[in-house]
Amino acid sequence: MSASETAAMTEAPKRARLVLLVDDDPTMRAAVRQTVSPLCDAVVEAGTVADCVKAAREASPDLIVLDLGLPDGDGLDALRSVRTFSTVPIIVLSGRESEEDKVALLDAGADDFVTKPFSSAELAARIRSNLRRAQLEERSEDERRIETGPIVIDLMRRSVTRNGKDVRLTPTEWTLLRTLVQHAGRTLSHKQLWELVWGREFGDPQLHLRVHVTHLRRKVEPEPGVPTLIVTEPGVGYRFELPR
Amino acid sequence: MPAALERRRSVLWSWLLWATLYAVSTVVLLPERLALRVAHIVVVYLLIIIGGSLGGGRPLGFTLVGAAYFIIAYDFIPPYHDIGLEKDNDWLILLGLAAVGLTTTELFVRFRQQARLAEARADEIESLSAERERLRQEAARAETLQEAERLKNALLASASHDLRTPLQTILTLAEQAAAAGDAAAGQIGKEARRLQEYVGTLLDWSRTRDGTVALRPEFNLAEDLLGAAARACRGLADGTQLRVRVEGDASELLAGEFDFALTLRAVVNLVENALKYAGGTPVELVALREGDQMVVEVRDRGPGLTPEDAAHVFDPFYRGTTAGRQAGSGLGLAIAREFARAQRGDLTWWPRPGGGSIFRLTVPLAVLASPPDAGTMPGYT
Repeated sequence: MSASETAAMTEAPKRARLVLLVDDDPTMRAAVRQTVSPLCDAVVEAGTVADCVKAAREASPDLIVLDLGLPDGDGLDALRSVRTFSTVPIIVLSGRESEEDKVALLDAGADDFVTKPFSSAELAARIRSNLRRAQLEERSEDERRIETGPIVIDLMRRSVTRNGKDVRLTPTEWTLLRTLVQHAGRTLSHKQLWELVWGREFGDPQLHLRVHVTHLRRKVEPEPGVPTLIVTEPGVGYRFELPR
Repeated sequence: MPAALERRRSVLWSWLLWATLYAVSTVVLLPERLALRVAHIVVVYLLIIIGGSLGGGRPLGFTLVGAAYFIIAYDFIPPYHDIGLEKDNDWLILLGLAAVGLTTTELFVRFRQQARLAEARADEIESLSAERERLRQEAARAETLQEAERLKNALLASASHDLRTPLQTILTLAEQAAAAGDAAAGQIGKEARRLQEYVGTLLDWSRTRDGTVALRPEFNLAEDLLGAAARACRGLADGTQLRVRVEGDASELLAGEFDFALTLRAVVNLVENALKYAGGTPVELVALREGDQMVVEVRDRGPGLTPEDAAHVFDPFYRGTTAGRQAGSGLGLAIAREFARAQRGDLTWWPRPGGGSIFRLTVPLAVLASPPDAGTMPGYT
């Protein structure tokens, strides 16, 4: 069970009003619906890219679960179309597993992806976690205070303490930490992080990111050798997972 | 060289044989020399010369001609026991003997050389055409094999992709049935998941075989790799303990040039294996620098490998002499090694001093020229 899963369960999000479920296979749709319906008031289903975009526009769902294999086009097209008019959280169900595919999904605006095979519990946890983040984003970010083991991160006071002692972060590390926390539970691709934190095109993003993330982990992770807060999504990016 | 030796031996035998014949003829003919005409004697010697030149070549032929000349002049043409000639025309006989003997020898030798050459040519042609046929067959076989391998991989890849979606449906439905209280459904779900994982492994394997592994070797840190591996193995590390450590000065970050996702899969595979066989004893996951390589070692205190297992542990589908008790495809280590080698690294096994195994994964070291510092940050607001 991942940290985000645990966190999402202990602090249950508000029930969603409407979830849009997009999959071309009716059997699979029925199966996923079983997982989704306890988490929301209503489920709308779509089986094509066109239906998906139409439903997203007209029903304005709280969350979209999108399977990539659609008969009238690539799920990625649906994703891009929806992103032109909506910031609704989108979770992609993907049979593809290459890192390039995942990066492409994130860069196209997916909030999260679940790779097949996934368990219902896994999907439910991702849905809760994304709903929760969407609701949190409505709050002021500076209200955040994260406590885990010996570590306390207080974004409002811009302080990190380990066993009550102040830990000094460089300005870059602060920006990196804040960016990750703001998108907690969501994987940010290397490119997205590079743009959000460094805001520039030149330089070696790979080198800067790796080194700064490692330094940051040594300062804020309860056990830097086995990170639980700043999690590596192999070949894709990094994700901040809220502790339980 | 056996052929040259054989020839020398046959020449030696010729000398012996013809010299003996010479001696015997001379001994036999000598008492009869008054009853015989010189022509008879010359014919006998000429026959011997012809035989000698056939067996012994020029040296023997010429020697026999010279000897015949002197023997006939000395013993068979009066005055006897003198090289001189009694009758004026006898020198013609001797000249004829010499001329016929020398010419015959020369002709025979040349004929033999030609014959030998022709024979060698024929042999050569025969062996060349045999070689050509062998090569042709080999090429045809290689092509067939390659085609079969390609087809097999294409089939594997396609099957793996197409199995994924229906398996997902089975998995989801089974989970829901299990949640509704169907005891057997839980097992169905578990098996579906196992099948999925196996399909993924087969897909990985087919990718390493047909060269479509999309490798992206880039700058990555050992600490990041080990952390991700430890996290991935968290579920398994219950009971047994996984100890993670990067050796060396902590302020100098250990880095390598490798594809993070693929290398992580290889390391996780090694750690999972180690945990399986460690039987509850601690497993160490250690990164260190060695020369121009970044090394990741997975050390366990399990039973280790028998010499037989050590020789084959990286062979695909090899299950090992003790594998019976553990489920697995027998592909994990083969895939891990292919991944490592595809990025200029390697994967090897070593016996661990004091018992157990060390699996050692290497990748090229990346040198951090100037560590980025806080000064490179953007405007922080």
